[in-house]
Parts: sequence; structure tokens; C-alpha cells
Amino acid sequence: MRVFKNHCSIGVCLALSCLGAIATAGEKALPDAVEDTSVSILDIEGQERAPFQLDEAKASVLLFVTQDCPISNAYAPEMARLRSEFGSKGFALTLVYVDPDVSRNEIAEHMKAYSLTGYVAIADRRHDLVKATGARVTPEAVVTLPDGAIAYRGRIDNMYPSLGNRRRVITEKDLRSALNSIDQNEAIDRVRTQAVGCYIPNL
Amino acid sequence: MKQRIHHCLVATVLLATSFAGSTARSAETITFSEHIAPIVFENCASCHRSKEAAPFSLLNYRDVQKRGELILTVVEDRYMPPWHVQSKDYVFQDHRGLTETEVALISDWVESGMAEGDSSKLPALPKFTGGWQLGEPDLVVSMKEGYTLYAEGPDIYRNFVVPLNLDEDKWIQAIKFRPGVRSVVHHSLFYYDTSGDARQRDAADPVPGFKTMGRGTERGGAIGGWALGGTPKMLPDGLAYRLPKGSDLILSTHFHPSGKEETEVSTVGFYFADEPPSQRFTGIQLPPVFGALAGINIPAGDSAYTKTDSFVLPVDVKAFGISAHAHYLGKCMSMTATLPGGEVKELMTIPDWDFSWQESYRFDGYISLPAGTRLDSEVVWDNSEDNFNNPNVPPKRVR
Ligand code: HEC
Repeated sequence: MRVFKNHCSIGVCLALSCLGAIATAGEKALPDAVEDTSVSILDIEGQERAPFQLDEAKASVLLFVTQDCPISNAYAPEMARLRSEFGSKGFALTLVYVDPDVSRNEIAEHMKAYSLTGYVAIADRRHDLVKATGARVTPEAVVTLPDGAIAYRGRIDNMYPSLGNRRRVITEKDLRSALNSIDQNEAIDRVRTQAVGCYIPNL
Repeated sequence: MKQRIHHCLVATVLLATSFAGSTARSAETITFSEHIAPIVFENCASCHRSKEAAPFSLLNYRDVQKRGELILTVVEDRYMPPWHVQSKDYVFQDHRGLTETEVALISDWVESGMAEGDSSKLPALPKFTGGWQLGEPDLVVSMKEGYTLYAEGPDIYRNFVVPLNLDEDKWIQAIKFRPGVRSVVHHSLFYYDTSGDARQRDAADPVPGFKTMGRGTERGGAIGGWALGGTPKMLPDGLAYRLPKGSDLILSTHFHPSGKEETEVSTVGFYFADEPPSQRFTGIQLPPVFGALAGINIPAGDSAYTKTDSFVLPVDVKAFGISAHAHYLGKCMSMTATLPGGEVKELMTIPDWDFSWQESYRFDGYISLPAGTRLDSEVVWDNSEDNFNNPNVPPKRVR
């Protein structure tokens, strides 16, 4: 009987130690601010966008996504809610599609299928926005303030404790709470969290 | 807790040595065409190709190079390829898994910049047969109505009734299950029902199918199942499941919401034997009943509630398959056989139970278990907050 118990805890711990490995790899020298806030890029409609230049908006919320990552896709309903709730509170929300091979057409189809229409969407095929923010995973949120400071970076919530594990009950809604804090001019509780998902595909 | 930390150390040390070992290879010689493609084609492509269950294809250099780090993470984690059972003593059919050497090769390749190499050395893609792998089935049925599942929320377990309208008993040698929407159907367990009970429950529920996990039928029996990536198999040596005339087929399906609404219509193909089999087989379940009847009473917060059961075989048995079943709180599961001479064999251990993969496993050949062999099973439940699958936050007592 003993033997089995040992097996069991090794299994569990292996998963934990791997999680640790991801976390440390992800924390290497990420920028605390966007250096060049003038970066501009076309959205999928062909309109010029400068996501770090905020005229009126309180903050820019970039959601890094891939069209074929199951974790990124599982967040589509929450992304749609975030846009309708925080868009009207003066936040600029943008979907950043980071697969270097994705076409504008595929993005438009994906947005339709996942009820994400209404978002400004950018095909970041050369990873300009990925590099500017240090995003590593999809889905990952980066929130920048008018001065370029990265106010929040990380997960949307804690639905996925690790790849392949989904929590039945979400207990931490980190992005929402960061946006609410910005909205109310309060300090953000946790400014950095670990996004769990698919690593951003290589160029 | 102490004990766990200790084990973690063991695990990390193991990982570390395998890394150290791997860097001995001169990294620049590792190329996709020569070293990585054979591993990926053999172990990943069956699911990672178009119209299969996995979310993207892994069929060429670009597919793999662009996801290099992600692939390394999932293979080091042993999350991919999916495989959940182990046994020191027996081999399972269709075993999936990479060797330490293969994982180390992928690691070195990713770390050395993912060279493509000489594409003339690329192996041919394996031939995959789509459609009905076992040939045209004797009977093909589908769900009467589509079931629409929500875009997000907890996983869904639902039973669907498919009338078969058989006017004589049949003997099932194999069942092929074809999900309509592969991204949301995780597994399906098959039952038959002769009582009409399932039909009534279906009719009483306004939405197609009816709830309750597991089988939800009194007069009937289990006739196999399908899990993601599974291929249909004939039972060995002419063995067959009896399917009584007038039976309804029950598909007890587990869905995984994908982020968008989907409508599922599953299709099932039956392969019947021409004649009744000359041998019978039976399942032995330990503990024989689940839930309240088995006396389960798990305190809130208990991370290792353990239940054991045993059974002495009254006759000689030849075992050919094994499966495990638990719900959200299951953590590990194991079964051993103590042979009459006292030798202990590990039939199966599922160390890190992921309730979404309820698979059954076929042994490679028969396992002889003489009369007098004692089967011992152990199930460990985790009703603590650390169990991500715990539907109750904070945890509640579960009976
Ligand atoms: C039995 C089918 C199957 C096999 C074999 C398989 N995969 Fe997967 N893979 C899946 C499915 C299904 C998913 C999607 C999981 C989900 O939706 O949560 C997936 C997801 C992934 C992901 C994305 C990570 C994620 O969390 O979704 C990666 C990367 C991956 N697989 C790599 C591999 C590699 C590399 C191999 C071979 C070594 C492999 N897979 C073999 C079925 C398979």
C-alpha cells in the first residue's frame, strides 16, 4: 500500500515543480514600462492604431491571444464581458493576435465564431507589441497607463492553475481587480501574475 | 505535507540529472528533419492534424518550430501525449509516451535554436485512415437531436438515449464513436438500457438527453467507451458484449466547453459478431459500488481520503483490460493482484488522476490470474482546496 501513496505524491509534485519552472522562466527581465509609446500598427480593418498613446482613455488593455490555443479560446466569453464593462468605463481594450502566420480574414472569422466582434483587433505578425510589452503567453493581459508604465501584467484570472488543469471554481479575478483599482484611483493589489497558456508562437 | 516536499525534491533531482545527461550531445547536430520529426509524427500527429481532436496540426517544420517552447513544456510535463496509467509489471496496448531520451532531444533542439536540417531526410508522415477504421459498421446510429452546450462554465456530463430498434439480440465486437464537434467531446461511456427508464428521463428533461453522471439506468449494462484520441478495437478472440433486443443505447458523454457555443450530434457504429461467442467475460469492479453505498464520507479539507477494497477470485481469470472511474475529487487509483504464491503484481496505477480522462486500457495479451488471487484496489480522494477540480470552494464534506 505504501508504494502507491508514494507514487501518488510524486505525480502531484512533478506537476508542481514544473509549474515552478515555468514561473521562473517567465520572470526574466520583463519591462516595467513601454519604452517607445509611439509604436503604431494597423488593425485588421486597416486603420492605424497606437495602442500606448492614450488620448482620453484611463488605460490601454492589451489582450494577447492566439486563434488556436484552447486556453486562450476558453477565455473568449470573459474577454467579451471585459470589453463591454470596461470599455464604457474609459478603458481602451485591444485583442492582439500574435500568430505570425494568421491572416486578417482568419482573425475576423475567429472573432465572429467566439463572439468577440466589437473589439479592436491587431495582427501583430512581427511581434512589435509582443516585444514592446514582454508578453510571453496567450492569453495574457498587459495594462499600460498614459505614461507607458505597465500597471498590470499577467493572467485574466486563475481558471488555469497549469496547462491541462482547469479550476472548477475561479477564485481570483486579477485583471478585473486591477482595472477596478485603476478606475477608482486605488493601488493595484497584485501588479504581476503568471499567465498560464500557450507560449507566444515564434516568428 | 513534509512527505510531499521530500518527494518534490526527488522529482526535481531526477529532472536535473536528465538535463545534465542531455547536454552531452552536441546540440547543433539535432535537426527537425532528422531527429524531431520522427518523434512528432509518431507520437503527436495522430491527434494533431486537421479534423482531429487537438487544436492545431503538428505536421511540418513550421508547425513545430513556431510552438517549440510550448511543445517542450507539455512533453516535459508529461501532459502530452496524453497517457494516464502505469504498471511496473504489465504492458498496455497503444501506450503513449515519450522516452527520457526523446524529451531530452526535443529540449536540446529547442534550446539550440530549432534547426530544420536537410528536408530530404524528413520521414514520411504516417498514413492515417479516417472514417470507419474497422470497415463499414453493421449498424450506424446518431443522436436524434443536437445538444447545444454553453461557451463557458463547468464541464458537462449528459446522457443521450439512442433507440436501436433491434428485433433480436446482438453481440458487439467493437463500437466506433464519432463525435460531431471534436473540440468539446472529451469522452463517452456506452451503456444499454432495456427498461425504458432512460427514455423516460430523457422525455422528462426539456433539453436533449438527461443529467446525472455515469449510467443512470437500472436494467442494462456497460458496453465500452471512447476517450479523446481513442481508436476502436475488436474484443479479443471473438469475445463480445451482449446487446439485448429492444435495447436503447445510452451515450454518457463528458463535454468540455471551448469558449464558443457548439451543437453536438454524435454518431456510433456497431460491429456485430455473426454468432454468439463461445466464451463469456465479465467486469470486476472494486469497490463494487461508488458513492454513498461504498460508505464514502470525505471530510472537508482532507487531501488524502483513502478507501481500499479487495476481492479473492473464485475461479481462474484471464484479464485483458482495466479501467478506472472517479469524479472530481479522485486523486490516485491503483489495483494490485496478489497471486496465490504471494507475489504482488501492479495491474494499474493512475498516479495523478485527471477526472476528464476516463479511459479504459487493454493489456498487451492476457494476464493470468489463478483462482485464489487477491485483487486489492485503492482510491485516494482529495477534498482539499488544493484540488483544482473541487467543485466546492471552500471544500465541503462529501458523502
Ligand atoms: C490522443 C490525442 C493527442 C496526442 C497523441 C497528442 N495530443 Fe497534444 N493535444 C491534444 C488535445 C485534445 C489538446 C487540447 C487540450 C485542451 O483542449 O485542453 C492538445 C493540446 C496540445 C498543446 C496545447 C497546450 C494546451 O494546453 O492545450 C500542445 C502544445 C500539444 N498538445 C502538443 C502535443 C505534442 C508535442 C504531442 C506529441 C508528443 C501531442 N500533443 C500528442 C491531443 C493529443
